Amino acid sequence: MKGFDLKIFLPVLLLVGIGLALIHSSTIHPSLPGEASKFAIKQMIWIGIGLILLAATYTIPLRLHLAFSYLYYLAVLLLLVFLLARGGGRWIELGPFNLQPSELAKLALILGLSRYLSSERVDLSHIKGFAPPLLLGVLPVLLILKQPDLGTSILLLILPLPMLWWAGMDPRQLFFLYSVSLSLISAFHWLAWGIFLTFLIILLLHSPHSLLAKTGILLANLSVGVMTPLIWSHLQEYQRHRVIAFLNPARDPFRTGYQIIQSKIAIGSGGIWGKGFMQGTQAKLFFLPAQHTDFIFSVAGEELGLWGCLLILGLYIVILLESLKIAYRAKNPFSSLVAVGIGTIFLIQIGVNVGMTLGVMPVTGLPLPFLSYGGSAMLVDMIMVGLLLAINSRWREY
Amino acid sequence: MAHPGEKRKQRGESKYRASIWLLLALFGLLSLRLIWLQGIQSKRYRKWAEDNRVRALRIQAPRGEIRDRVGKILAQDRPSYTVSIIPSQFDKSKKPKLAKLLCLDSTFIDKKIEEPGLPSFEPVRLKRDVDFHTICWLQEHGFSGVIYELEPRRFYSYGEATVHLLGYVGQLSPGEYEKLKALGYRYNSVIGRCGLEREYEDLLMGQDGVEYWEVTAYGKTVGRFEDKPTQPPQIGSELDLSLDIELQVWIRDNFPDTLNGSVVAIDPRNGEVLALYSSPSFDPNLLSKVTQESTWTAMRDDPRFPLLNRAIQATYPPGSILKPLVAAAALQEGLVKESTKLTPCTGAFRYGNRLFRCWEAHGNLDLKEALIQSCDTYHYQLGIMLGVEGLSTYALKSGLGKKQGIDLPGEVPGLISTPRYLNQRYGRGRWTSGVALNLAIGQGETLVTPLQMAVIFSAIANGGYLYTPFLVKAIKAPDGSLRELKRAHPQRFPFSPSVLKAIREAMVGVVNDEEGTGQRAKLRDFVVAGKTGTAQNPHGSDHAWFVGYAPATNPKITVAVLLENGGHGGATAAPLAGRVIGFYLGKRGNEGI
Repeated sequence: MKGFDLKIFLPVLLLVGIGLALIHSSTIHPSLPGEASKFAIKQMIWIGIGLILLAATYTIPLRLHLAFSYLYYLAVLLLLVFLLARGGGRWIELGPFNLQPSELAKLALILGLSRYLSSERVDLSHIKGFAPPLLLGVLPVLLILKQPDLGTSILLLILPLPMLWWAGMDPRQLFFLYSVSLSLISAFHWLAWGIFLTFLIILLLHSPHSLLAKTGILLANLSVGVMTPLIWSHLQEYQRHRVIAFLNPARDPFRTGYQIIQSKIAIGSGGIWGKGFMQGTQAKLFFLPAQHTDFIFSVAGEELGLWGCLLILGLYIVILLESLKIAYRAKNPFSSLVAVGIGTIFLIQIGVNVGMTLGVMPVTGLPLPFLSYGGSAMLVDMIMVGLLLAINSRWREY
Repeated sequence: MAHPGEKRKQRGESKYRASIWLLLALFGLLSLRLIWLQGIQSKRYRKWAEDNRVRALRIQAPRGEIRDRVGKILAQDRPSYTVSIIPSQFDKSKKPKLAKLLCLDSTFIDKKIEEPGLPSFEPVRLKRDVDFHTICWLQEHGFSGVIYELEPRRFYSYGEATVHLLGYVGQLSPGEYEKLKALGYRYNSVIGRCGLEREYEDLLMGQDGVEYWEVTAYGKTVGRFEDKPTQPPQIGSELDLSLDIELQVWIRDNFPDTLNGSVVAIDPRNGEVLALYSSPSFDPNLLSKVTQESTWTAMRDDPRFPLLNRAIQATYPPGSILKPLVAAAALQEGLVKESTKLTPCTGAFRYGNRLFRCWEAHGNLDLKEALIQSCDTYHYQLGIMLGVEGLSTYALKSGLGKKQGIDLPGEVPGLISTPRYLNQRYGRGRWTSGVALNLAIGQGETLVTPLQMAVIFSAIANGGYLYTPFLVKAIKAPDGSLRELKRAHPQRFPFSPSVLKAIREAMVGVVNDEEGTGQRAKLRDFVVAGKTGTAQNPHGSDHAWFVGYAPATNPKITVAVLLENGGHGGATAAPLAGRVIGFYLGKRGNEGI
């Protein structure tokens, strides 16, 4: 097993172990101590299957991943269309399991983008060069947005950004590319939008683009920035609520505030040393919402305290730095991009999820890699780790 | 010499470094936030977490016992099963079954479940005092959200004999709870509704204890919270009464069931209330359960008004029992002497152009004889002499027209017609001195309570002291210390000893003379003194009065009997009063009271 990267594999094992313990602790009924919860048992099965998939992915030659990447992307896209055609929802029932295609879409987009961006002929300074990868990203985003699953949509929307950058796209150009969506977000506050627009114009003046391209970018931003608040303010109150509810079903105005407060109470009350394993009252007495899935980090905060949280974050850093190193070292551009994509997915999920439990990010419903309860996510995460390990051990392959 | 590949590699390296810094910065921020929450603000959040999960549950404090003068228990709390329902956990499909088991209306359960303003995880009482058999049945069949608790429940040993004295307890209404919660009441606390239970509520109620329980976010209890110790409930103070329960029960058993009225017995030497009974009565034990609406309505709408305490809350014209006071006033003023004879009684007395009737032609009588035979003609003339001014002055000084200050809620003052009152009522100069004639025989606008008359006759008996009547002699605090209640010094009666002596002699005659109207109160073993009264009443038959005391030379008990629509006082009230006195003195004869 030469080249098998223990610096990734061991932290992953440790994390799934911690996750298992926390799931057990947070789902066991106080009146039935000592009995394993059905969630922990199920999660153990997922971990087992995940490890098998990890091994399988590790042994498959990278060339095969490359060869099948578009096919895989297409298959996932079809699954998403199937879900939509069936009338929405996030899951496909497969006997006792529920498959979540949006989780598969993460991997599909990474592979698809990597394959496209690694081909020699691509010129990212031209629209013909960067339009296809954007299309690759936008298609699943739209399908998932419709499910609706805002968290994963945003995740997939951001994913191409670091990959394009890694593939060599000019950062200014990337900025222009994403400027419209930034306009959309900042337009809700005139000052934010003003600052953003000024910054955009200064950059545009110094960019080597054609006048046509510059005008196009500016007009697009202006129209989005002006129209958004106009449309928004002309909507009825209930329509606005509908839009918010559509974009983000987790954000029911009362429950969200409650979730975040309870999560902060859980983490804060844990203190430095924590209340002890199985001793968390916030999780045990159901004050924490979704304590074994989205808010598993709050359970860690309550029961294991600051040291436990820092340990978990430390393990994540090791994994992320290692995947970055793998991406940097890989000679094959496809492999390198895949590693960057995987690292990005992990980073965003960790940042958004942990930030949410700490009350600094909105509630989006993204699970925490390796820790949160959930089958599809665990399997996909394990496959991604398998890919990282494969890339690492064959980094010389070109 | 930069090779293209080399250049790309350099660019790659700078991206690699930038990414590392970005990563570290992001994780640094998350770590700082963690340190803020868990290191710096931790104390605050720990308190919130505690508040989240720990709920204080009250343990109802037993109310203090109430005992009679020799320590017999009149009211006490006994453990009983209460069935409650937790609306959020109740399976509504089982409602008909539960209703049938508890003998409740299923709409009653609906009402309890949907009572507004109560959190749905708080238990709501369905039925109190459920028998053990039903509890076993409940437990076997396992209704979710239906619980039973062992709670103290008020029990009155003598039921309807004592209800007007002791009162009863009832559950707080939501409105009362809002007002009283600051005083330590909870939404299903009981509170004294009337009688002593209400008068001494603050002493009897005790102090509820607190138990700390751990609860889930849905309000379900998990178990005792051991970090905060349980505060045990503190029992309420106990009351020792002057009441003689044997006498009270005897009165209840011997009171004519078909009549409304009351009997008051007090010790003329100190104002202790020995018995106080009002008829009709009712059983308070029915009311301290969860009261059915129908029970209440029936009681409230009963034409005999059982809720009314007729000894202190109802007023009656005094009729002839006022005559001793009128005679005493005339003697005190020096208007007549004991031996003074006035215009003889021919069965009527002409004043101005009006004819005032007497109930018999008594002939030529002196003052004592006039009292003994209850001659109206004689007293009409005393009334003329005293006038409204004189009559009302003495009546007020004797304590009429105002509350006696007994330690029971709801006492009423009655009414005395003063010139000022008559001016207000009819206008200045619109009433004549003829009013005084009616007032002098206890008719007209004079209203008294049986308690007032008992106090006044006690003052005649004891040589001139108006004692404030009272029921509670001592209060025993939960720590065991006994506190005797200090009573105000008695008021002086406005009559000299010689005047009172004359009146007492006359009242001995009322009962013991051949001509006396109260002969049927006469006892073989004791000399009873008293006065009969037959009060005309615009709403129906005459009210029968007898107020008296015994033994005449050394009075130990004063009894006032009033029978609504009872006819002649000498015929109905006097015998009952005599028997009450006889029972009390006979029972106590050997105890050296």
